[in-house]
This record gives sequence, C-alpha cells and structure tokens, in this order.
Amino acid sequence: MQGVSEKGEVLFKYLNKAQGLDQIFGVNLKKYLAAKDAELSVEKAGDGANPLIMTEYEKMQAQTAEGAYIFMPAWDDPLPKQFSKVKEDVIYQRGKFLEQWTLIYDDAKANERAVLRVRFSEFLQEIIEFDVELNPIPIDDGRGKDVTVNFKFFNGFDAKGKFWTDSNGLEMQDR
Amino acid sequence: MAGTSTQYVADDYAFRMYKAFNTSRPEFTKDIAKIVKKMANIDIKDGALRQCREFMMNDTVVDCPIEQDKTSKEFLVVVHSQQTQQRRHLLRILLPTSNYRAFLWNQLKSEFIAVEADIFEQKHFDKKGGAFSDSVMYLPTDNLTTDEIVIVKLLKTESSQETNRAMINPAT
Repeated sequence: MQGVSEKGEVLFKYLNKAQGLDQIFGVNLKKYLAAKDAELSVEKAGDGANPLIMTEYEKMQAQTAEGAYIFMPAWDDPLPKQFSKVKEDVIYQRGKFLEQWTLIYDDAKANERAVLRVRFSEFLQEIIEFDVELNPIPIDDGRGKDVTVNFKFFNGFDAKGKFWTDSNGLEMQDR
Repeated sequence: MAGTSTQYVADDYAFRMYKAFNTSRPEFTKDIAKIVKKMANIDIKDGALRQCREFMMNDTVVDCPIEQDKTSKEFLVVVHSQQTQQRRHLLRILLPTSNYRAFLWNQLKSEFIAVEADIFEQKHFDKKGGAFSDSVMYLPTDNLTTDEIVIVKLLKTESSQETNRAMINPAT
C-alpha cells in the first residue's frame, strides 16, 4: 500500500517479478447523481419542464428509468463525485494464506458508508479481489445515485484499448 | 442469459432462478447427504444441511452461512464440486466466533485431519451507521483432496484463532 492520491484514490503497488510487473494502481468510490425525482416523468415535471422545450436526452431521461444495464446520470450534472470519505487508518491483516486490507468509508454527515476489502492470495491465481460492502444509499435529497468502484492505473499503464469482463462466470471476454 | 437489459426481464430471470433453486435444493441436499454417508459414514439429518451462498458465479470463494448459529460447538461444512470454469481454491466460511479449528476429511486415511486456516475478524456497518464484527475463515482446499466433495469439520476451541492484524495509515 502506497498512500492516498490528491484525487482520493487509495494507492497500491503490485509487484510480480516473474512477469516483470511493477504497477501502481488506485481505487476509489465515486457516485453519479440520477435525475431529480421531479424530472423523472414528463407528466410529473410540471412548471418549468415543458416537454416542448426539453432536449432529446432530457425527454429520454424523463421517460426511462435506470435498469440492470442502463446507466444514465443526470443530464445537468453528469460527472462523478467522491462517495463518502475514506478513513486514514487502514486495517491490514496477514494470515498464512491471504492478505487483506480494509478501507473504511464513513461520512456521517452525508450518511454515506461502505467497507472496501482488498484481498490477495497465491490461492486466488494472481487475482486481486475487491469486495465492496455498501450501506443503503441515502436518497433524502430526492435523487437516486449510482455508486461505482473506480480503478486508475499509473506508471503509464497501456491497456491498448482493451479490457476484459467476466461473462456470467463462464469466461473472461474482451470488450 | 440474453435479453436481461430491461429491468422486468432481469427481475423475471431472477424470479425463475429463485424458483428453480428452491425446487432442486431438497433433491440436491439428499444427494449430498448420500455421498457424505458413503464417503465418511456420517449421517446427516433431514434439514440439517443449509445452502451456501453461491449465486454470484464469478466469486472467488463460497460463503457458508453458519455464522448465524452462535451456540453450536461443532459444524460440518460440505462443499460440492464447482460447476463454474474457474475452480475455487479458498473456502470462505463465516463463523459465529473466531475460536474454531478446521479438520478436513481425508479420503485416503478415512479420517478428519487438522488443517491450518486463516481467521480474520471483519468489521461491518449496520444500516444505522453503527459497527459490528464477524469472523471469517479462509481454508485452502487445493491439493488436499481430489474428491468432488470437500468435507470440513469445525470444532470450537478455548482460545481465539484470529490472525494478527495491524493498522496502517497510508498518509504517513
């Protein structure tokens, strides 16, 4: 573990001598705001949301809810923001078979809490496991939120435009 | 599973999977009980086997929900062979407390053999922002058995088996 970047990423260094890898990467929790409740339907929108003067994206957002595969941040505030605050003290546990770093995210004022566990073990076949335990997301402000786990690779890491995701546990597919 | 991009299809898919699991679980449990009887001559009473949480197929471990039972001094954990491509090498068992030792069934010797395992205390937030902890055991199953079934016996001990931990402040 290396520290915390200026942008809030908790930094780790992965060393693999056999593969000649010396890679620093960061992990952070971010949130995207969804459209305000009042904007969720054209009918409900009322004053100031005349469908005739709404953009196509606003109309689509007013008529469509997010779903399992639909990600749609608010049209007027689409960029991610920091989710909660990471505590400076990290719990480190090292056993005979597994190492675990526990990052505590706790923002009592915003009521945003999560626990992020990073696990590494030779038994996981070079996988670094990130396990996020997310508390209920506050919606008192009338806005839904998408919370994401953001990874950033440093040292000029070049994925050559490719990444792989798991396909229902059957195989890793390049995208 | 194709076509799950709309929420109602995803919900329908989840509901059908839930119903199918509930239908097959009793039969599956009977089969496991028969195999355990044949392998280790252990009788499992009806209803004594509970399902491990294995619905996220890309997990690297299997969670076994025995932590809910805080009174038992002895548990038997049965792990069936993995059906996903990625074979799991660590068994993760949620424990009621940290003072348990693991014994693995050895088919060649026909007996339970004491094995080493890591036990970590894990902190969690409750819904109101309070904190609580549980204990998790990590047990390697690789090279210990070639059987499709792994049988683990957990026995309560006098002292805690928790693995050491430290606090790191990444800012320093």
